[in-house]
This record gives sequence, C-alpha cells and structure tokens, in this order.
Amino acid sequence: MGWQVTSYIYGGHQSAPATQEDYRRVATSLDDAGGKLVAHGIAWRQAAMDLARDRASVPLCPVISGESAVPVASRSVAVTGCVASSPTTGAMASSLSSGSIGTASAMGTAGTTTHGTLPYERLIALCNENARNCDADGMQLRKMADLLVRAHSLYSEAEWKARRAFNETGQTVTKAFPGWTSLGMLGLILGGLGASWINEGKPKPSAASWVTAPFQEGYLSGIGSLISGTSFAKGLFSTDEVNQSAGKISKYSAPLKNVAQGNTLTVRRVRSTVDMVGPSTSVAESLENLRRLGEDKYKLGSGLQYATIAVQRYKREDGTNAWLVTIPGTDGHADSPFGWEQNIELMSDDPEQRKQADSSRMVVEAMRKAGIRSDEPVALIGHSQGGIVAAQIAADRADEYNISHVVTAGSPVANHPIPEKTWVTSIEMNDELVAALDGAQNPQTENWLTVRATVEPSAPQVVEDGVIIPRSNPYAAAQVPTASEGQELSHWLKYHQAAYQNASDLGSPAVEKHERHFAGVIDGKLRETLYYEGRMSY
Amino acid sequence: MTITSLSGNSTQPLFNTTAPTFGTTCPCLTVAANGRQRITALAANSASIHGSIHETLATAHGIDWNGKAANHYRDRIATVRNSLSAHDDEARSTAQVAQVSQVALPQGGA
Repeated sequence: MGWQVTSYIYGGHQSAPATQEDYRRVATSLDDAGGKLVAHGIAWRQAAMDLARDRASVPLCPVISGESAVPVASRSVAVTGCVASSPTTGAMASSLSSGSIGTASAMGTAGTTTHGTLPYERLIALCNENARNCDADGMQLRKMADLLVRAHSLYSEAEWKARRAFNETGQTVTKAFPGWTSLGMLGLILGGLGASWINEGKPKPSAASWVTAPFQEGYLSGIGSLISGTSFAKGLFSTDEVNQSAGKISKYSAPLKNVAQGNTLTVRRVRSTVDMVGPSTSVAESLENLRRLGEDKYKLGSGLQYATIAVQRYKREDGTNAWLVTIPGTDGHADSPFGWEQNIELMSDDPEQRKQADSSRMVVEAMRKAGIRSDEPVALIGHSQGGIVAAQIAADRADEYNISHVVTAGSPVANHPIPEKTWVTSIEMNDELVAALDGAQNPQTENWLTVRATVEPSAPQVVEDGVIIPRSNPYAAAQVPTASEGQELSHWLKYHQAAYQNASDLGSPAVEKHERHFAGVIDGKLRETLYYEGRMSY
Repeated sequence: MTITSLSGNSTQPLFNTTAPTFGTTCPCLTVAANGRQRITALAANSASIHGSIHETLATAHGIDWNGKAANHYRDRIATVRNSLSAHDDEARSTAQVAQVSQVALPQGGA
C-alpha cells in the first residue's frame, strides 16, 4: 500500500468572477449529468431485479417460470404458435423462459390458455450491463466535475469561510470549557494511537494527528486565547491568539534557552562536496533542493552538518542579481540555532521578539555575508521552521530586503504580517499538526496562495501481464514517492512535494501565476551556491 | 394477432395471440407486458437523458483550461461522449429484445 495526496487551492490570482461563474456552471452541469446517469443506472438495475421478481411471481405458469418441461408435457398441454410447432413442449417452454421468443398460447385439451413471457435471462443481463455503463459514465463525469472544481478553486471561498467559522467556534468552546475540550482531544489522540496500535502493531503519532486534524486549529486557537487573555468577543474577530500567547511564552522561554544554549550566534560559510542545492527554475525543483539539503546531506556525504542553509545567486540577463535562500527546518541539536524553542519566538506577535529568534538571525546574517543588497530580488523557501523564518523575514525585514517571493512547506505562518508586495506560496497538509500551530487558516488573498492537501492510502498499482495499468484518473491525487508502508507523519517534505505536484498538474491559473512569479524572480543563470552553518554558544 | 395494450397494468392480454374465447388468460401475460413496458420506457428515457448530457458535454469540452489535468478532462469527456452513443444503441437493443415477444406468432391449435 502507498500513500497519495489530493490538493485543494486557496487564494492566489483566480480567474475573473464571470469566468469562475462559467466554470461553476459547467461543473454543476457535469455533476448533475453524472448524477442523472448514476440514477439511471439504478433504474436499470432495479429493472433487472423487477424482471427477476416478475419471472418468479407466477410460479405455477409453465411458460414464464422456466420450469415447464415436465409439467407441461405431463399435463398434455399443447403449446401453440411458433413455440408450439414442436410437440416437445417442455423444451420449447424452456427455450422461452431463457431465450428468445416470448409469447405463447398453450392450449389444453379442455380449452386454450394464453401465456406471455420475455427472454428474461438475456434482458436481465442487458439491464445489468446498461446499469454498469451508466454507473461508469456517471462516475467519470462526477470525477471530471471534481477536477474542474479543484483546478479552479470554485468553492474555496465558501470552504474558507466555513472553516473559519468552525475554527472560531472551536476556539470559543475551548476557551469556555478548556478541561472538557482537552479531555476530548486527549480521547481522540488515544483513540488514534490505539487504532494504529491495532492496525499496524504500534501506536503512531501520525494517526493521532490525523484523527484530531479538523479540530487542531480551533483547539490551539482556544488555548492560545486562554494564555493570551483574549476576550470571547475579541477572539471571534482575530486569528492571532496563538501568536499572542507565543509572545507571552517566549518572554520566559527565550531567557531559558539562552541559559541552555547560549546566545552567541556564529555563522560561517561551509563547503559541500556534493551539489546539494542545484540550479532551480521552479517551485518544484526548489522543494526538491530543500528536501535534499534537509534530509540527504549526511546520506550523500556532502560534509554539510545540521543548521546549514543555502544562498544562491542568479545572474539575470540584464546583469542584475537575484537570490534564492533555501532554509531547512528544526533539527533540535543542542547548539543549533534551529532548535525547538526558536519556533516559539518566531511565532510571537511581537516583531522584535521574532527578529531575536536565533534561526532568523542566522539566515539574515548569512544573507548579509552573501552580499544580498536591499534592492535585489530575493526568494525564500523553507520547510517547517525554515518556512516560519522565511515568512518572518518577509514580514519584519521588508525595509532591508526586497523579498519578492516566499515558499513555505508545513509552516504555521497564517498570522505573519507579510506585505502585499511579497508573493507567498504555502503548502500544508490537512493532518499536519505543525502547520496548524498558528491556529488559523492562511489569508486568502491574491498574493498568498495556499495548497492544502489531504493524505490517504492509495490503491495498489494494477499490473497485468507485466504491464502497469495507468490509474483511471491520475490527477485525482499524486502518489507520495518512497512513502512508508504504514502511516507516517505527513510533515515530511515528500508529502508537500506531492501536494504541489498534484496542484501543478491541475492546471490551476492561480498556481501557474504564482509559479511564473517565482520562476521570474530567479530567472537567470546560477552563478554560485553558498552554504552557511550556524552554531550557538555562550 | 394484434397488440391491444402496452400499458402493462391491464388485465387484458397484451396481444391477441389466440382469442381466449373458450380458454383462460395466464397472469404471466400481464407480467410479461409490464416487464416489456418497463424496458421500453427505460430505453426511451436513456435516449432522452443521453441527449441532454451530450449538450452538457459539448459545453464542458469547450472551456478554456489548459494543462495535464485539462487534457485528461477533455479525453474523458470525449470518451464518455462516445460511450453514451454506444450505450444509446445498447439501450435500443435491450428494448428490441423485449419487443421480440410482440412479434405475431402463427396460430396453432390442438
């Protein structure tokens, strides 16, 4: 068994409202047509059942019941018409019931009995075949309607509003009954762990995350509002309760971190023996580079260590520079600026606190060392904490750098005040707790595109005579390459990569426009890739 | 031999294969007529549904949408369109099979 993801697109530059309305009309018509066919298939299937019932409804009739061979003959009934042309009435009656011709007059010696029948076996088979055809075509049309809806985000605004309302309700309930809601969440977590224990032989956090996914943002937002002291009324109209509480918590956690890790940040340039972050022309390629830098640097013997980022300089045709900064996520090493605590600081609602996060300081220092000038366009791409750093720099360093595009994968950045001049492409998994830690959905604006994806087990690949049979709708979902057999946390970048792949395949105008913008920022020849490593000390 | 009713809910024989002057009518005659009527109606309904869906598919095929999924979408729409035409024929055939029983049978006797 493998895993696959289905992506839904929110925000970005969608088609004009009139065009959207046209798409909606077509999608609705297709869905209705599919529904009609499925219903018609049910009618055919019902007809098949009715025919079978009809046939059994006259059990004493020797013609329709198909059991007439012996009784008809033994009662010396002569069957008239073409059916009766042979004296072997039993055989003919049998042929009637299973076969081709359907009306007969059986004339007994004492009078005439008029019979009627149909080629039931054949009709039932035909009805069932018609039903299958209707089902297949109807389902196809519904799938195509779904594809159209997803590609053009036709109901994304309504979904966004519904989810916002759901989250705000969850927040209010959590704030009013924190004990009960926490117990409920604990129950769901234990249920998820127990279910995975039964199914896969060991309790899996991924199952707990999956089962609590719909409630994560509302619950976290409610806990955030409790810590930050946000009133019920205010909480309904704001979305940054988690960030407010992170601000409060980091007042204590940052000094503690300084005691544990020190507060002196050293950033130095390091070299890789392997081309870990190669040239890129797209978000997909940059995501793969990000994954390699985060996950493969040891495996490939690059010589790079944890807390290493890449800064790439692209030379454009007009001779100017453009930059791409690749930022992996939390590594949790004792002297790493990408530790766990730094996440809290980065999530603060206070820009000064955010700026003091070691990971942010490290990236900014690396950008300075690389020689990025304030007028040169920069694209930042980050996973998890790397994505929060990217969003934070775009939000808080807008005067120092020309951050043109930010790509975040699995990062809770909904409340970071990123200016409109910066385009944001966010990729999040529905059951990914990390991306839900902001307790809110990303803004649905033209400059902010969010790809949200659901994870589900995929059907095994069908192989016939050594040939792989293609999936009937390859764009309904994207396969996650090298996914483990069992359920795993979808926070791994390969899930975000698959999500972006699925979103790109849809031919969404919004995704294409963001993609073109990202490619435009780094449109040039890669001149150098610089790697920087950060360490904390006293 | 004439067809007197296709309603299927009549107690009268559907076709006058043999005049039941001095005989009886088996309930199977009504049952078969009902079945025949059901199939005929369904087949007619198929043609009507498929006709309306053909119009939807023509509109759906022509929308402005590009990319891999869009190509797949158009392929599928075209496939369904062809498939519906084939199924029209199949529905008609089904009705014809049901109608075979309406063919007049030569009168015989004991």
